Amino acid sequence: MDAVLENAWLIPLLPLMTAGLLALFGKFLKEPLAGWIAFLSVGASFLLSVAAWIGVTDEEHETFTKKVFDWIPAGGFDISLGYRVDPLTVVMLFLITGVGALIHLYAIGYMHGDPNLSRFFFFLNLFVGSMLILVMANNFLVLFIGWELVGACSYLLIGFWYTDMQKSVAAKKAFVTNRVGDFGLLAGMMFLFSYFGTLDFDTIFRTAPSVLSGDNAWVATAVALLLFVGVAGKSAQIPLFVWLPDAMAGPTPVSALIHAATMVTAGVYLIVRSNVLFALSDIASIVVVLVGIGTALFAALIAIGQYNIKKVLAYSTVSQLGYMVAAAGIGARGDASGYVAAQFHVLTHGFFKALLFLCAGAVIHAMHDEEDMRKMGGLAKKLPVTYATYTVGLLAISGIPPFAGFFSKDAILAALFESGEWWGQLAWAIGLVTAFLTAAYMFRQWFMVFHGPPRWDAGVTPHEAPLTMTAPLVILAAFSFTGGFALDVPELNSLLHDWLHPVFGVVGGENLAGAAVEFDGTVMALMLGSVVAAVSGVGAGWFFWHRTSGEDRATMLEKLGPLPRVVREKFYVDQTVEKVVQKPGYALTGALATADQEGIDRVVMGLGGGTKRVGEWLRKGQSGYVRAYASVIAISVGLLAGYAFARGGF
Amino acid sequence: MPDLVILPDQDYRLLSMIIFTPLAGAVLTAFLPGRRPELARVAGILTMTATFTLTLWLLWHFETGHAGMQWSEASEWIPSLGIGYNLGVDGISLFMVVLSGFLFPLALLASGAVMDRVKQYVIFLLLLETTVMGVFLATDLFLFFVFWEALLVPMYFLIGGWGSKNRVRAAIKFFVYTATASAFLLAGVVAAGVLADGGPLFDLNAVLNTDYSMTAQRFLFWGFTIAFLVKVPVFPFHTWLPDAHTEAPTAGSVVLAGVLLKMGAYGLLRFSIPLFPRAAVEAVPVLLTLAVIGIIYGALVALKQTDAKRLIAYTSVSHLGFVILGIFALTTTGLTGGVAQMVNHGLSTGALFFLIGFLYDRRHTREIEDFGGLKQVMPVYAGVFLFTVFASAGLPSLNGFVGEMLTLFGTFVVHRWWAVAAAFGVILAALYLLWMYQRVFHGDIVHDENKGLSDLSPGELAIILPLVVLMFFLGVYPKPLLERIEPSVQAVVALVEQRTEGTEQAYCEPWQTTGDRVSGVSECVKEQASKASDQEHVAPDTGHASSVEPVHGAGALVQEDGEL
Amino acid sequence: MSMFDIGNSPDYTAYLALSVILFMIGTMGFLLRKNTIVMFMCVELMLNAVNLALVAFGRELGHAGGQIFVFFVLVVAAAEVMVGLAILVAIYRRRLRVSADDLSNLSG
Repeated sequence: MDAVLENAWLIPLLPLMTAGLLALFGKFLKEPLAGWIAFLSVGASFLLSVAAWIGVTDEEHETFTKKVFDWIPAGGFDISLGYRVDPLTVVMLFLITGVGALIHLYAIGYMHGDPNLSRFFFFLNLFVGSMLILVMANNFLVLFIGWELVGACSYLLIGFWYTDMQKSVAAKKAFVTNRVGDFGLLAGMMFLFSYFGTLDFDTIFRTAPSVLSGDNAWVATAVALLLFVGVAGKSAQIPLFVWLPDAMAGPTPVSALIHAATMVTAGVYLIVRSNVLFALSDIASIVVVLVGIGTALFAALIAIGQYNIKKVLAYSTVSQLGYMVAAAGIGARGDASGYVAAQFHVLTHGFFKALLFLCAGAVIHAMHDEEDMRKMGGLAKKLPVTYATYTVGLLAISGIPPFAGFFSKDAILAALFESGEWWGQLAWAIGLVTAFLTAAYMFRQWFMVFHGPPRWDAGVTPHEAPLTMTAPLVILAAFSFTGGFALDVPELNSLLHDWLHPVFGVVGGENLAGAAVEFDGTVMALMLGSVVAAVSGVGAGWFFWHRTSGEDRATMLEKLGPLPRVVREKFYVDQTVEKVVQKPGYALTGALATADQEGIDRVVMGLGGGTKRVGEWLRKGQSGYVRAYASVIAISVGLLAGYAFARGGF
Repeated sequence: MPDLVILPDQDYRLLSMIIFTPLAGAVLTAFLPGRRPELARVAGILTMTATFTLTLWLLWHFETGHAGMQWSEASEWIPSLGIGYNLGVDGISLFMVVLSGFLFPLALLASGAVMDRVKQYVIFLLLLETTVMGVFLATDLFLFFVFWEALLVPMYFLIGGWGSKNRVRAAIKFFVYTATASAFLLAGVVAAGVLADGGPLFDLNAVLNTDYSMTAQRFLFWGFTIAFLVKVPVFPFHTWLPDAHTEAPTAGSVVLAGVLLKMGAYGLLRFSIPLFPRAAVEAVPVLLTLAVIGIIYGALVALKQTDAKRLIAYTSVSHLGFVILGIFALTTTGLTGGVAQMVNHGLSTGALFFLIGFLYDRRHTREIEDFGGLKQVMPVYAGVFLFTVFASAGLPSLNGFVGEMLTLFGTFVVHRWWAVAAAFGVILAALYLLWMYQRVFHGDIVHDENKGLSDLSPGELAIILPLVVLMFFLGVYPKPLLERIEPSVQAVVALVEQRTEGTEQAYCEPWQTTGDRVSGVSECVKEQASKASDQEHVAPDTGHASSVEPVHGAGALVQEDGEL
Repeated sequence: MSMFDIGNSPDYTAYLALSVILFMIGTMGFLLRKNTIVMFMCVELMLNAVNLALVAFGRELGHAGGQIFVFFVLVVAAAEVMVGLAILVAIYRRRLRVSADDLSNLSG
């Protein structure tokens, strides 16, 4: 399968070229055609990914890298555009092209009738291509191309309905917040470059343990923390998570693809990819784990208080990303199973969260673009397919065995607990609480949307979505069910461990192969703990939002006292950001703009004006009277002569 | 030292042709009847296209990998004073010349709205082109100064004659500000020529052999540099720029942003640094600080602007900060990035000014407030605008990214914290441009006047598309650009290395010692630590000399590519 | 004996003294009188005082330069008279007065 790997650059190029075609000729394409072309190109990429997977398998998990051409050759800074296919890449390729293709299919139905359909698919394809660049990069700068381009696509797609200023503002917020993160990634890359002289993954990861040792150990910490700033931006961690909930302003397929399944996991991918660097620093590990699990808890709390169907899912995404980041952060402590767990959750979360978003899209579609859950209810009978698939996704995310989310979340919790580090075990405890909350807020949503009496606005007649929309739901539901036990189960199945272990060879992940986690008492207890947390979460959801009678259900939150109010207001994060960052920043720019005009420019103009005033003063001496001039001459001559005489000669 | 390989003399004077074709065109145009403006336009376009063709010819025949001057010409002019008519082109000036040749015809094409005194307008543009080419091609200090000063005249008339409301004031400010700064340059040029070994002589190659005393270097360096800094412009000498940009006609803004601002940076690279290397190295912290302030400050002030052209003018201050940063990093990477950034800024900011000009032609206002929701009526325009905004904000795969990355990485290896501070500007770049974009294009159309706006005409598309294509091409495949720039800037770095302190720089780019030869690191560190102590100009931030830290990157690069 | 020897002549300081006196008269006249014609004559007087001094120095130093320079002064003075008087006539025609204090139009 060498030929496939040699030509693997086609995987990102196909969607990119399709995007270019749609950009140039989209105007001339009739409505569904643009969507089908876009879908086919991503589908083709998926097939190529499968081929690449087989290719990597044949070469016994070897890493395949290839340089395509010299990109930026200048001095010691010699960056080539190249790609890398290894087990980790293949996992991401599957997720991106697979889920991507399904969501393209879904979008054909969802975006039906939009006048700018071809532009939508142009952006969507551009995104898929960029995301593929990101995960196929063989050096940090190429990764950075993808990293920035997916941010730009996210900007374009969030603001797709640009006539709504709010959506436009949300788009800008997403891009700029991401740029804050990118600043960290950029600074991290600069550090790496100045110590390694290259940004190539191979070289850096191979030599990092020796280069960044001894006196340079602090560099590993610095680099890891800077990269983590980038991660926090892309994967919506505290404090840079604020953009993701707002990003829900975009069309729902976008939320599903970009803001749930793929782009936001780029940060997790970056940590897993740079595992060597993160493994070198305990400080970085502590920060990453605690920020990750803190985000998980924080976002889960906020999610409980939301009424917008997509906002709940958005905060849930932030929360789940927190899990992944925490797992990736604990990484190589113990063995490398933290990385595997993170990647595992990236996959399963990609399935069930895309599914949930697409279901939410189907609901919104059915409810005539209504997103407020207080105006839903009783949809189970009207939308049977959506209801069924949503339920699968719900069980998966809540961590009910044997659905996919149970296994991946349990893997994360186990990795945290078994790391043997205090921060890991602290994170495990918080993670359990979060698991409880997750089940609670998801069941709250389930009850509010699908059960109880209808609270619809007049004139709303819900109807099931067309086949292009339901087919992806069913497929994703299947994955959400099987994705867990098919990939990795302690003792029984170590597919993902085996597959990924070459990636973590350097950081002590050699023992990952084979049955990685022994099924001993600890594991059993941990699993039991997870199940108990999840089930009690379900119980809480049922207790508060189903047991109580109809009308109260929507307003249940208000009855619980002051804390929920804080929760509903999202802990006043947005308001605080506005007060602490936006207003002072705006005042600063205003002050600087004024200072520029009134300060610097006034000095400049003042110099000119001063010259003029001196001239005006001097001209007064020019009376115009000849005899006055003559007198001055005479007197001056006299004085000079007197001076000369006084000195005693000339 | 500049490369000593002498290319054979060419049997025709291409550079002179490039300089004087526009002048000949101007003279010709002067004889055309003023009542028929279209004739003047045609003559102008033809002349500029011919000049552009000549610059392309130059690009085509440029010897890649050669550091020294090519296509050199040398004639006596005022022999008693050692002043000659010497021309030459190298990797530093090549793309400036080509960029100028490229932008001028487009600028004239985009001047359809100029109805008044068209003949004079064309003549002034042609004269401007002549002087611009002269500035970039002169290799005689005095000749350079002549072109440098002569350039002010046509630019003054273009702003003052065809600008908008406050044009006269802006023109005078532009003229007086830059002419005042040029007084320092004149003093510097004369002193440099007189003090040169065997002087007076002004031929750049001859003057380069002089190693001025430290005192002389300090005075001369700052004399030259102040003039260049004003032209760039570097904070705090930038306030003429917003006024000039705002009031100038579209073509004037494009040429100003695309070409004229680059002259300052070009001057630093061509004269200030190679002629007075020790003073330059000494001044590095000051200039890097000014560059970083400019990057952040320009971006912050841009945020608050309400006038679209003024906003872009401030972004120029920010972007050119990167150029200065790259230049005074004094590493091959940084310098290459600086020159690349000059080209890229010329393309993307030039394009932005074209675009704003198109809008101005339709609505006769530049206030951001007066727009809103334009994407609905002008989708193609909005798309092109967004593309340009992304290019300008340094989105990877578009041109701005390449230059920014090179300057940042080139600076970081020697002056860590400046580079980090500058990288902060990258965030702001996204903010101010997208904010403007949002206010102009998104939302609903709130002003009725905007409802009937027409999208880009084929003519306008023809002007902007070449720029778009280039922005994309140079982002994806910048090698043709970089490989021509690099040898020449490397020669500059080598010269600075050689003249500085007489000490060999520590050849310790860490990347040469990592890889499999990790043991080499420690040796390199020791060598470097001992060197660091006797180097005056070690950046203040390299306190931890015990770590593997590049003190001065350039030496190694020169070594590495010594065969060039 | 040079051709300039005039025998038992007074000491050249006497010539210089005369020259100074003439010059002072001219200066004072120029400063104090308003009539431009008179001022003009005073200028001539000063020129001639200088001429006298030049001749005296030339004689004393035995150098012909002094005398030669006088011719230049005379020629220039003649030219100056021509231009100056023409201007004065023009002014008189316009204003019917030639007072210097009326002529301050060129003040700064």
